[in-house]
Amino acid sequence: MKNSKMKLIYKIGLAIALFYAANWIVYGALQQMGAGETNYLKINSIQRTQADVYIFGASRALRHYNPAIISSYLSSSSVYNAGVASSNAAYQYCMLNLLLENHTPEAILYEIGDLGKNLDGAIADFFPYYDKNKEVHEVLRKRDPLAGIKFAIPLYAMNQKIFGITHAYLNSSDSSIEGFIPRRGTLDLAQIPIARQTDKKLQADENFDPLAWNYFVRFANLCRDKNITLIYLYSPRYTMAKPVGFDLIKNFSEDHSIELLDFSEDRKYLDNAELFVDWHHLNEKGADIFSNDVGIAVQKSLHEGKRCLAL
Amino acid sequence: MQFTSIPFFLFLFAVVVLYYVLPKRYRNWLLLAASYYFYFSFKAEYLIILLGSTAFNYFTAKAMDNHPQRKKLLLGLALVFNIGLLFLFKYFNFFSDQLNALFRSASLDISIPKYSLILPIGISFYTFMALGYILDVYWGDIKHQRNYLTLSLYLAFFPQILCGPIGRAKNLFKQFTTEHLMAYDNFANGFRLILWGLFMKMVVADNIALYVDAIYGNIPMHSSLTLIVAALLYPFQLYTDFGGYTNIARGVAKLFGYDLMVNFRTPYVNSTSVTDYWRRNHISLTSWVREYVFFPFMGSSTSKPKVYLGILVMFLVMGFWHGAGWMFLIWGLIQSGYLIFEDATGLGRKKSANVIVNTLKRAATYLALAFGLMFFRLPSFKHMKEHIANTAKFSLNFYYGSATIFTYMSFGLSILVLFEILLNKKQFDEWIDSHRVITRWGTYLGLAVTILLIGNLESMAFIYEKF
Repeated sequence: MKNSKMKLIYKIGLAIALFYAANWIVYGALQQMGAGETNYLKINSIQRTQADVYIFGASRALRHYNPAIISSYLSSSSVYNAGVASSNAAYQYCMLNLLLENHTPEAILYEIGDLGKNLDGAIADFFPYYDKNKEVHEVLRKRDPLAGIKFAIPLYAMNQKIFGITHAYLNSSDSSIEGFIPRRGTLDLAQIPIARQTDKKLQADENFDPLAWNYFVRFANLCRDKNITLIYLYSPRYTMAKPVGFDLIKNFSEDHSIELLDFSEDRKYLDNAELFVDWHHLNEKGADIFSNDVGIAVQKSLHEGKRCLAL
Repeated sequence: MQFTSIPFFLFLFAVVVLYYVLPKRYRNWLLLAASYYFYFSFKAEYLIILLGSTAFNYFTAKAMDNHPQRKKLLLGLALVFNIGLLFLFKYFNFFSDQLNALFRSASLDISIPKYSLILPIGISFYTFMALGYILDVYWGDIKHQRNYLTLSLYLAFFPQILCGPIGRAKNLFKQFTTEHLMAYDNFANGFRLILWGLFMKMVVADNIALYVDAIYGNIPMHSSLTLIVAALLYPFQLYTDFGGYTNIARGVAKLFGYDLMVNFRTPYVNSTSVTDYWRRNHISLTSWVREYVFFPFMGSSTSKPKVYLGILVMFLVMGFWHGAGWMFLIWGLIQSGYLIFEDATGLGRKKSANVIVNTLKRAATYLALAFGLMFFRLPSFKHMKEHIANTAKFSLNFYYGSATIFTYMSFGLSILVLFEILLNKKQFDEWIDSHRVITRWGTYLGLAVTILLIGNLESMAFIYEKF
């Protein structure tokens, strides 16, 4: 009986030790693989950047804004694309807080459309900062009261990321231009009817995430406090549609004098399969055309508006 | 508090520690309190129904033993109560719909109202356990349970209350009255089963669910190839969801020293006929229906037509047990048709030593089962019609949804199939125990890391909870 208990305690201890060792080994390996400016774990590199202008948002920010092109319109101000796939407004808020630890940019171009509950998957990226940054800690605890327990297991932060990290690591064509990772290929038209159905669900009011909205507002307040020019953008889609919470954002931007540049009704892009890789992502060609449009519009906005960049 | 959630594991840790710290006479009380708390965490009202069912079945069984002359009457009462409970929560609206349609077609101005009652979680499972107990007492196979605590635990034991396995009174009563020591083997086997169950549910079932649910949520939009792939994946989704639950349930029970019934023996990978499949799949329900429906129906008769009729009745009961709907009945009808066909042709009995023949038989069995399960999965004839119409278009444009999820699903499924081939009729804990230490620990770590890396950690509900 006593031996059985001792054996059990010894084995449980051994299992925990091995489990943790395996966790840290795999976690470390994935961190190494994803440490570059890939879509994944971009948070690792963003703190090292010192750009004048940043692009924030989810996958549509990541895939649509070519910093090299936008920069050419902004008197060579440096531009960095901080977009991360599947990230929501709470994610952007955490990212901004980490960025502000070392550097304050002059302007942020924010791709709206990240208030959906479906975009909550990436927040675990902030695992390494859970105990290091007060704001990040608060966001994670608010989102999930059990975050402390979950983050005791390092690999929790890598859940469902291995495919993306491995893909980006193996596929050199995915290497980024200042954080921007374009997508290649053209739209498969057969997918459009399915996409329309999916869109309906994503745009439904039930998909609106109030917590993400709270951080969307706090993001804007933080920009105001730090004197950072904030511009909202909504990039083109294959079909005409607005993101969940669009009316709220529109009212908010009007109330707070934040420019909102909406490209979703631009006929140049609508129903133009040549420029899209799927129904809501531009391909490389589309992204370059769009980045030119963004460059022109932002340049105009910054020169005409009160919130001028020192260009 | 799902089995795959962190709160459940915190709860389990606390209960296990308390269980072995407490003096033996308090342990069953602790288990009962924990079971009621666990059940209460889903919805408080459910607990009242469970408490009512426990009290009624306790006193009815007691009265059966104390008043043998009224046994039949009491049995009738118990059947009416237990089946009535199921009828009220699960079938009332279905019958109301059917009768109202009948009245309308006969131009009668009668309308039976419908009620929006929420189906209490686990009611089908604990009601069948209660019925099994009552029938055992009625037939004199066991004496009524004198200890109210034991009967309460039998119906409410938290590892099995949500989705079974549907245990038998003769097996479980003994275990509830035996002293369980803190044994290393129980913990080792318990953890192994929990780990394998989590892998089945979180890596395989929940990743398949994301794909299959997306397809079946929008049938008219999808091509033949996509619908065929979804139909072929669904049996694995169902199995790994329910099989994963069962492994976790058995593993959790083992931590307290309890042995719950084996419910699956690799049914989808290793069955060479549908007959073989029903010896391996949802064993606790199949054997329950055989013992309490089929055998009483057959009596002493061995005539083939009656056997076939018995099989039909048995599977209609099983179909209807799953839910109030024509689709479940058709699924039951199809299963009984397969079994009768295999019995009549001898296909269900023949076993081949040839690997190729066996592989072909496995594939044919899987296809037959996948076809039957389309009726199980699709909510209505309308959906089935859409499915068949779109499949008949022979379009090969394949929709794989998210490449990430499709990759995780395919990887998880490949590992599962590999393990299932190796396991054959064994359970994971028995199989792994027969291997060398390096294989065992390598497998544990591999499974744990895979769950964390590609599993769906969102604690999705189990499919059988809605039955």
